[in-house]
Amino acid sequence: MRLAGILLIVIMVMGGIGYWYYTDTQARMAILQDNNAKLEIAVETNEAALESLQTSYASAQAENTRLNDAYASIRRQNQALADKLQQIDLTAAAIANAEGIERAVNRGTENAGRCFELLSGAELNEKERNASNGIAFNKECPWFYDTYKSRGLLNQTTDN
Amino acid sequence: MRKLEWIVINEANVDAVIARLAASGKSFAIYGLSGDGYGDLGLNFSDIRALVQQQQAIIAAYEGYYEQAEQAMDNAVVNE
Repeated sequence: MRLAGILLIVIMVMGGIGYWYYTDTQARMAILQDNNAKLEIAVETNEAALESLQTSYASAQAENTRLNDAYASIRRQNQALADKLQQIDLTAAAIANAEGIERAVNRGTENAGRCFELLSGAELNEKERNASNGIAFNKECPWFYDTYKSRGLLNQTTDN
Repeated sequence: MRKLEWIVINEANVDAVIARLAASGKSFAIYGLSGDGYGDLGLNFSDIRALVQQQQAIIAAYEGYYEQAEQAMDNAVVNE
């Protein structure tokens, strides 16, 4: 009888320990599953962020290359007038043919002003829309011709 | 742009230019530039034009970059 009582106590203690171990393990497993889900989300977020950064970096590189090309082109265009002036003695030309130079500088000034208007977003006029090449478009900024043509803003004509 | 009128004067045509201005009712007062000065004025304008073009290129680059960056961000959010 005494032995049976001791055994019952031992069984109850073992059962209590077993129950505690079971509930504790279940709670830990729930926490681990929860942590695992959080980690999966964190990994997915990190992967998406990394991909976004890589895309962003690639687009920045592409824009930088495009910008450098545009700068080189603009520098070449800006050099064109300096090269032209190197070949012309304006004083001698004005002495030799004042009227001709007067017409040329007035036309050049008008064209140069028109370049600024176009840069500011002015609408193309009829002559510009129908131009068949850069020189016919505007002698002071003939490179705009290709820009407008690529944007489909010129009437279809044959290039010279 | 406002229309400008350049008048080219040399020793040979100065009297004719004065007469032409007088005939059109204008007094003879000229703001002058030498040949080199006119060339420099043209180069200055060319520099300003190049600067405007550069600024426009920068704006276009920023626009392109932000459009692509925004697209990448949208894609990242959708994937998430």
